[in-house]
Amino acid sequence: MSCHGSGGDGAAGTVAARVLLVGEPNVGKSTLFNTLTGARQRIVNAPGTTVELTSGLWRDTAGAPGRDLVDLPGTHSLLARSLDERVTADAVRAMAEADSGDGAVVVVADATLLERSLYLVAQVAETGVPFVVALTMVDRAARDGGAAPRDLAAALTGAIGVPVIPVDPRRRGDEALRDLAAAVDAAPALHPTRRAALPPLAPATEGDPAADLAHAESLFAWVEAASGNVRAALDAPHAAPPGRSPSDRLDAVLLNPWAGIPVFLAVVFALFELTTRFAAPLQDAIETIADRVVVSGLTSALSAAGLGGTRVEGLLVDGLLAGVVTVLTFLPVMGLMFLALGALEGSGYMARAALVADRAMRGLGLDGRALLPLIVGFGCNLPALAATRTLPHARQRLLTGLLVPLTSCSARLTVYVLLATTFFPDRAGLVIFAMYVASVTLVLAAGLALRRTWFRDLRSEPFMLVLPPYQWPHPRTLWMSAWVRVRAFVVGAGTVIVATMLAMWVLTAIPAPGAADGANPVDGSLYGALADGISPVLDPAGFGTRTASAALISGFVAKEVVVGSLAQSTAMDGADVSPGEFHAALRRTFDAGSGGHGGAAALAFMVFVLAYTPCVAALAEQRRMFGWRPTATALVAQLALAWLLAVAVFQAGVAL
Amino acid sequence: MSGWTAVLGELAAAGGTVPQIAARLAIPEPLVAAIVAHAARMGLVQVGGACGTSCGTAQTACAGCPVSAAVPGARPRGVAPVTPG
Repeated sequence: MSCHGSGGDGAAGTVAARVLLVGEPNVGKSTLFNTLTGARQRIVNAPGTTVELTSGLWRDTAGAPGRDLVDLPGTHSLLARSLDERVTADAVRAMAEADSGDGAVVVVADATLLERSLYLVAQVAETGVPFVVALTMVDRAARDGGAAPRDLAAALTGAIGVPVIPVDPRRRGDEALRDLAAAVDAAPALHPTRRAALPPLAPATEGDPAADLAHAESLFAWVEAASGNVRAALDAPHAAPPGRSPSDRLDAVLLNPWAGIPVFLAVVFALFELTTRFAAPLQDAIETIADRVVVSGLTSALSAAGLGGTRVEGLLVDGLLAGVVTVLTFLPVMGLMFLALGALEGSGYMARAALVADRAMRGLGLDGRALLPLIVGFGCNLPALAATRTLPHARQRLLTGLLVPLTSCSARLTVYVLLATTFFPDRAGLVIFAMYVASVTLVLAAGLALRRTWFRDLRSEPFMLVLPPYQWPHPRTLWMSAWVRVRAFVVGAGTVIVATMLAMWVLTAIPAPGAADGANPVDGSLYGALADGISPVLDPAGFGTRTASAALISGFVAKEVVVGSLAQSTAMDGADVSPGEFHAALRRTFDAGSGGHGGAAALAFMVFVLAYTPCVAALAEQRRMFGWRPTATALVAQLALAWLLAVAVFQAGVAL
Repeated sequence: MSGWTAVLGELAAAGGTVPQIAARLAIPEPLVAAIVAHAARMGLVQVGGACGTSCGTAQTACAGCPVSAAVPGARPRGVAPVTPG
C-alpha cells in the first residue's frame, strides 16, 4: 500500500513499519486508531482515488520508532463492491504481495459476531499477509452469556493460529494495547505458511463461476470449523433458535403461494381503488385552477396582444396547454400511488410479493432471475431493459428483454386513469387493477409461449432473495422517494410532451398532398392524413377515429403523450376541454367511432396501449442490446398482438 | 452438508430473512449473514429492500431510470454505509 504523502515518517518521528487497520464498520476500528495514534494523524488519499484515509504514528514510548498506522475504510469483505471497499482490499493484497517484512495487518473483529469476524479473518489470512486480530466488544460478548475475554481470545488463537488480543479501543495505556503492539511487531517475522491455521482453499478464478463457488464453499467450511473449534474449546454450544416470532407467523401466510398471491392481488387492488378515489377531488381542483387561471389568463393575454383566434393561440392554448394541463391533473394519482408503493416497499412486503411471484413463475417453467427486470418494468421499461444485462446468458437476456415491453409502465397508468374515470367512474380502481392483471397475464403467457418454442434450450434457475425484516416505513424516506419520482415524472414527461405537441402542431400546419381544406384545422393537414390513414385499421377495435389514431401515433414517442394528444385532438376538433367537458367530449368521440359502444372501445384502447411498443427509447435500447432483427420482429409482433387483443376485447364487449 | 450449501439451498427452496434461515437450519445467525453477504457480492443472491436499493441489479436498472434514479442514499439494505471505522 502506498498513499499520497505517506512513506516517510508518518506524522513525526522514525517509522519502523506499516500497519493497516482492517475491520467491519462499527466495530471500534476508528476508535482504536484514535487511541493508538492520539493527535499524530493526517489525511491522505488512497492512490488514484478520492477515498480519504487517515494515517497516524503509533508509538509505544516517546523516542521509540513508531509504526505508520493506516485506518482503512470499513468493509464486510475483501470481495469489494464499492470504491471504499476496493481500497481496503487492494491495500491488504498489495502488502501481501510486497511481503517486505516490515508490515502487518490488524484485523479488528467483533466478539459478538464471531462467524462474521472469522469470515473477514479468513479472507485476510488467504492473502498470506502477516496479521493479528484485535478483538473488540468482548465485554458485551461476556455480558450476553459468552466466555470471559481472555478465554475467548485464547480459544480463537487456538482456532485460527494467529495472536488474538482482546482490547477496549477506548482505554489508552491499556496493557492489552501493549500486547497488541508486540504481536504486530512479531507478525512479519513469521514464515507465510505459519501466519494462520488456514488450509489452502479452492482457488477462485475470475470468470469461472464453478471455481468461485468451490472457493466460497471451502472458505466457509474453514469459518464453520474455526467457529466450531472455538465453541468446543469454550464448551459453549450454539444457542437454541428462538421460537416463532409474529414476523414468522405472518410470513407463513404471505409466503404461501395459495394465500400469498390472493393477498398480493387484494393489496394491489386496494391500492388502485384507494388512490383513484382519494385523487379524484384533487384532480378536479387542479383542472379548475388550470382552466380558470392559466387557460383564461393566457387566452386574455393573447387576445390583448392581437393574437386571438390565430394559429399561435391554437398552438399555445389548444396544443401545448391542453396537453400539459391534462397530464398535470394526474399528479395526485401518481403522487398517492408512489406513496402507497413506497410504503409497501419500505415495510418489507414487496420483497415477499416478489418471492411468491418467483415461485409462481418457476412453477410455469420461467427463470426466476428474470423477475427483477420485469418488476422494474412496472416502473419504467427502459431501465428494466438495462437490468437484463445482469442476467448471465445472452438468450436469457433476450427472452427477458422481449417480455419487458409487456409490463405496464407507470406512463401507461395515465391512459388507464383517464379512460377508466371517463367511462367507468364508479369502477375506475377495478378497471385499472384489471389492466395490471392483464399485463402480468400477458408476460406469463408470452413467456410460456416463447419458452416452449424459440427458447426451449434455456434452463430455469432460482431467484434467491433474502427477505428484509418487517418494519414501519420511515415517513421522511417515503416522502422523499415519492417526491423525487413525481418530480422526475413531471420533468421527464413535460419535456417529451412539449416536444411532441410542437411536432404535432407542425404536422397540422403542413398540407397533405392532394388533400382539401375543411372546417377543422386538422382537415387537409399531414397530421390529419396520417391519422386518417391508420383509422380504418383500428375500426374493428372500435377506436378507428382520427383522435384515437393520432394519440396512438404520438404514443410511440412516449406513453405520457397519449393523454396529452387526446386532449389536444379534442380541443382542435373544437370541443371545450374545461373540467367535465373534456370527459364528455372524449365519451362522444369514442361513442361515435364505435357505434355507441364507447366503453368497450375505451377498454380495447387501453389494452392496445398496454400491448404495443412502449416508446421509442425502449425500442432503441432493445436494438442496441439485441440488434435490429429481434427488435423489428418484436415490434411487428407487439403491434399484431395489440391489434388482435384490442379487437377481441371490443368485439367481446359489444357482444356482451 | 456445508453451511454454504445449506443456506443457498434454503434460499432457493423457501427464502426468508436471515434469522428465519438461521433458525430453520440451526446455524449461527452471524454465519448465515456472512454467507448471504458473500453470495450477494458474487451476484448469486438478492437482498430484498426498496426499489432501487435492494441489489446490484436494481441499482444498475435505476441508474438510467427517469423515475427513480435520484432516490437519495440508495444503498443495498443490510450493507452498512462504508465509512472508516
